[in-house]
Amino acid sequence: MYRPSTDPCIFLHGEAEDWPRLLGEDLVKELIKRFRHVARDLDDFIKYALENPQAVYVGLAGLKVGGRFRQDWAAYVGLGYVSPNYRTQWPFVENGVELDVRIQVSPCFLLSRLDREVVYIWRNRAATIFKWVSQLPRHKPLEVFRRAFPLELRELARSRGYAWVAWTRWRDRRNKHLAEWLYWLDTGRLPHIDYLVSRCGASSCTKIGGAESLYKSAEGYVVN
Amino acid sequence: MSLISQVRERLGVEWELVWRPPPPGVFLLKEEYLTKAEAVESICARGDTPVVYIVVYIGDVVVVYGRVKPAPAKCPVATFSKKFPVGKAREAVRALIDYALEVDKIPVFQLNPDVLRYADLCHLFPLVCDDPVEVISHVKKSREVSIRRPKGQAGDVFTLLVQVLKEKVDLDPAYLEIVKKVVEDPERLRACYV
Repeated sequence: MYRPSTDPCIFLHGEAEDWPRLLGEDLVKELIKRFRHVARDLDDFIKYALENPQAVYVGLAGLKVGGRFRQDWAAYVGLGYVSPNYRTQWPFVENGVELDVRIQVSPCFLLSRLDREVVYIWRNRAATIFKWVSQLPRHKPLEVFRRAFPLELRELARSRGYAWVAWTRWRDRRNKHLAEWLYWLDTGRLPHIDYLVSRCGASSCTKIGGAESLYKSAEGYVVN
Repeated sequence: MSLISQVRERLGVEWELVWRPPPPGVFLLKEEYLTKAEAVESICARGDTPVVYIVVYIGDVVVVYGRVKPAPAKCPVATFSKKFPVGKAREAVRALIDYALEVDKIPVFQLNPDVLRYADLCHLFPLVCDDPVEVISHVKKSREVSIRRPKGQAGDVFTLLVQVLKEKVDLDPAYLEIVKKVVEDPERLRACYV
């Protein structure tokens, strides 16, 4: 039985050095073995997983996983399901800003098998995404969403900080999922995994920048 | 020749036959194209036709081809299976696809794209793997073919249909999804109009 120190979101985390550290060498070897028809080494497998997130669960059948994240792994290995909830505990940044962006689904949800219920959750909780893409990309979603997300929204995160975005509102909810998306699009890494390896600290994830000109360009999304 | 001996002859002797439902695994076909077990049970009750599944094992990974959701309780169920070494996922899944397309004449759009991606077979079935550029070029190609064809009454209708669909897709790329649904299962059209 494997005991990884992270949840299955790592399949969307493009930083190779974090994989053995969080999954353990044995699980990394097992993954390369299971996917050796498409991957010769860890770098190949990370590229494959990032480009084909909805196919990874197929090759994990029968994988025995314990430890702190065993329930997340059991749902993923057994059902191809990853929760749409946010994972990152964003540091609090006071602001009264409301963004007209309805994305209440974590990028980790891209790993879930696209059955009827999952498609409904995407359409219902991440309706704004479908203003930018006509359907969910099954292939190379990182590339597709990097092109699809409005630049002004990404500038907002870069200038004000991801934590600032996380504590803005959409109606009565915070935009913590959206902040995870913007961080992932900019870095190719997931913020909660960066927190686990102490990469995402006060300087990179909680920045409150003063680039006023960039901020103004995002006015279309700011409600108040 | 009975159904079982036909399947056995097509697959070859190295495939093992057991008279029980398939193990849990991922299905080669999209879930919406699998018939409900209850619907088949009434047919089974009229005769002795078995429900057939074909299964490949790739290490712990199980890929199942069958056209009925598992498993009809009142029907005889035959499962053919073969073990492939880890690392031979491409060959294993290809064997199932060949059977589904050549013997059962399943339309390619019924294939589960997750399985194709897992087995790295998307280059063989780009239309299934949701690349809109490929789908558009396919629609264009069929338009060219229908234009070259001698025009009878049906030819004219096809040309018009392709033209109308192309205009729709040009105006609204989301319309492509509707076109794909028609290609997946043309029989649905009959239900709409007949």
